[in-house]
Amino acid sequence: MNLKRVISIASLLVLACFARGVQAQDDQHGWTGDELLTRGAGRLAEVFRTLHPVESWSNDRYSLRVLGSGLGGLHGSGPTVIVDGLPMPFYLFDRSMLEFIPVTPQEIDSVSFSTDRTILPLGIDADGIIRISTKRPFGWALNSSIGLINETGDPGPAIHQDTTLTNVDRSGPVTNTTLSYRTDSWFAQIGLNTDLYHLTDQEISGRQWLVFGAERQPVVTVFAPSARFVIDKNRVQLTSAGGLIRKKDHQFLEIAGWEWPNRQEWTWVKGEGSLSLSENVTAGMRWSLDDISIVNRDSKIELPGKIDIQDLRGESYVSFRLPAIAIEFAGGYQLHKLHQEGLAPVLDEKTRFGRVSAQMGSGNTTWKNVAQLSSGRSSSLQVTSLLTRVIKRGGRIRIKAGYSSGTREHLNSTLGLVSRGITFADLARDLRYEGNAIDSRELELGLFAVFEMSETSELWLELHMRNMAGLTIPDRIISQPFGIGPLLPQTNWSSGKTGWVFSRGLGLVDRSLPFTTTRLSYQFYHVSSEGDTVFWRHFTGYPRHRLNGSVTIQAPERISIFALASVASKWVWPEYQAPARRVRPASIDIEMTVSKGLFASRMHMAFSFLNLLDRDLGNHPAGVFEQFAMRIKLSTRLTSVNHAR
Amino acid sequence: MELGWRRWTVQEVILPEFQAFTVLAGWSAQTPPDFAIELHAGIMVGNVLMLLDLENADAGRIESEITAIPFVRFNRNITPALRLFVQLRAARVFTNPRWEFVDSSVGLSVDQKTPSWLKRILR
Repeated sequence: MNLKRVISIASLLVLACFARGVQAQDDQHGWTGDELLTRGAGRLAEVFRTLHPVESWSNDRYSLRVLGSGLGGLHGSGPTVIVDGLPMPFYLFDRSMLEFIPVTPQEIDSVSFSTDRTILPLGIDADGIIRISTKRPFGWALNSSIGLINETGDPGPAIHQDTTLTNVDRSGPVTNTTLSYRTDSWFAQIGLNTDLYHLTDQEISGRQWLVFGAERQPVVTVFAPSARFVIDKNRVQLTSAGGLIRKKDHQFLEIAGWEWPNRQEWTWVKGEGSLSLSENVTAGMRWSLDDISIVNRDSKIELPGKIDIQDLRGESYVSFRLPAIAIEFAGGYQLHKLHQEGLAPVLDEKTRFGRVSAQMGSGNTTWKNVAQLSSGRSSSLQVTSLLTRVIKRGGRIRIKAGYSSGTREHLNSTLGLVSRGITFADLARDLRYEGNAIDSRELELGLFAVFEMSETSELWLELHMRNMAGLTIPDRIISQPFGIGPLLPQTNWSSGKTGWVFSRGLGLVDRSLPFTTTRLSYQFYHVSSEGDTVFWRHFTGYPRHRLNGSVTIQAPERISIFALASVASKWVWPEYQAPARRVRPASIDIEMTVSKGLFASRMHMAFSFLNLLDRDLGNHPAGVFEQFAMRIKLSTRLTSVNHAR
Repeated sequence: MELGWRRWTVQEVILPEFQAFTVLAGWSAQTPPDFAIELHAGIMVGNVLMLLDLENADAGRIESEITAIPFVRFNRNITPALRLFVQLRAARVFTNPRWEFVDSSVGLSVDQKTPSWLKRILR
């Protein structure tokens, strides 16, 4: 450990001694479960799409890349979702799979979002956090829902005039079912989520033909049973969840430029157990196991050999809560195994990490710091600091600073896998990275302020900036319409890239009208590469200006209405060249949902109108155009006890 | 709510003729009943099922798509239960390419008390 690292950690601990009183004011934006129920969403991705100012995008209507503040760029890992205290990243090939998170929209109790880059338990590097808490009613509870989306654009009789036209009905049913039981001291739940959708526009059909040598509809299905168990006693607390996910996918790989027909099987277990040793001292353990297997479906072209990934993490911690400070020391171990059929033997990587988290406060001020050191194949240091001050006359200000250095790579990212020898055969034959892991540095500063204008309305302002240096990022130019055939995009990774990303926002939340919540947000996103064209091509493109406005009207026993209008300036994909559609013009997207509780709110029915203005919305050069669509969602909730205590 | 059936003929030989079955639900606002002529305006949304005149084994014989129909309607009471109406509707069926048409109609409508079993369901 070098001197700089020792000083960094020591300074955190010394500063802790000056603090008094602890107060948590962590997350910047929040929504209640009842407010989110009015979205009529069948999938978590459909809920997250409506959470402005959380930035997100997708190349189809059913999956979603959540960017959070956007500081990680258009291809960043985005915020980590934490469900009832357990981080659930489900990160693979540069995307967090929201569809794998075992939460159904109707069981959400609240959602909150914080933009901070931080280090979570088990050494998880999070570029922001979306925190979900779920309802846990006492006694028996049975939740179920079914949702369908009918996207417009079927050819109708015109199919006999133009045979290139294809059907575009793309979704359904998506179903969620949970059965739970809760007493004063424990809670148990089993659940099953299923999904089905397909993307069948003309460009995708062309790519399907090249992969399969025949006409094939790219149907995607998900089957995901899960279970959860919680013990909550005076001194002992235990939360554990696990599940199995089977997905038949036509996975669009940005790096390859087309879909990979595969079957993914993901077995997971996550948990935390703690024991209160005294009033102020708690000791515990956290664990996480992910076992991922990816096999190919039949195809004409040669696809990558079967990939197996096992990731096991565990840590022990002890935390002290004193009047002036809460501090936690944690130490853990990560074992990562990777193997591809037909290639070198199993690759084992072992990483040890130690972490200190300190939260201290004085009166209205809270200061939270986390420092983590990791050592394994490579080593890294991460330090984040967050200062929050509550303003006397309503509102609060939080200032954050974060620094990280070393090799901080995600093992399940495309670069992480390719740099360890994974190859993609005909799917992306030129995808190789011969370099070594390279240290990068990152500095982030941010300000978030909330001004309470009255008891029912508040104005918020946020300014974030991140400086990145020494990055290793893809360097590519795609000069085909959508990356097909022998002209696949050629990707090289380029190291030592440097640049800035800025994200600024201004917004209003108002609840002054009865049963009505109004939210307005404006965001300005900006990339400064200082002449580094690779950095610029990879990070820019997201609309610079985004304006969102939403209204939720929700009176008991009445019809609820949710309407959202999103205006975005033009969107540029500089890695793609004409004739690909590299620029999406400025757009307006309006969605509206009408919903009603039935049978004393035991049943809930929602009709949604998506892309109400019937515009061709196509975010990605190789993605689909989202057309006007209708969604119907029906959910039921039966409980043996009438009210949640 | 509205259930409908129409037979469509086409002028372009390449397109098959077809029958269209519609299921619509909608909402409308109306002027107060004090006036001699009532004005209703609203929108109906639903589904069109198209049964194309093709052989049973042919692919694409059945097509289905969403439709939205804004309308205005003038009512004139003849008796308390019988009305004369004139209606103008602009329909858009969200096929690709979009299929749009305007229709006008004149007719008689009869008001009936809602059966109690239907009231129970609606409540």
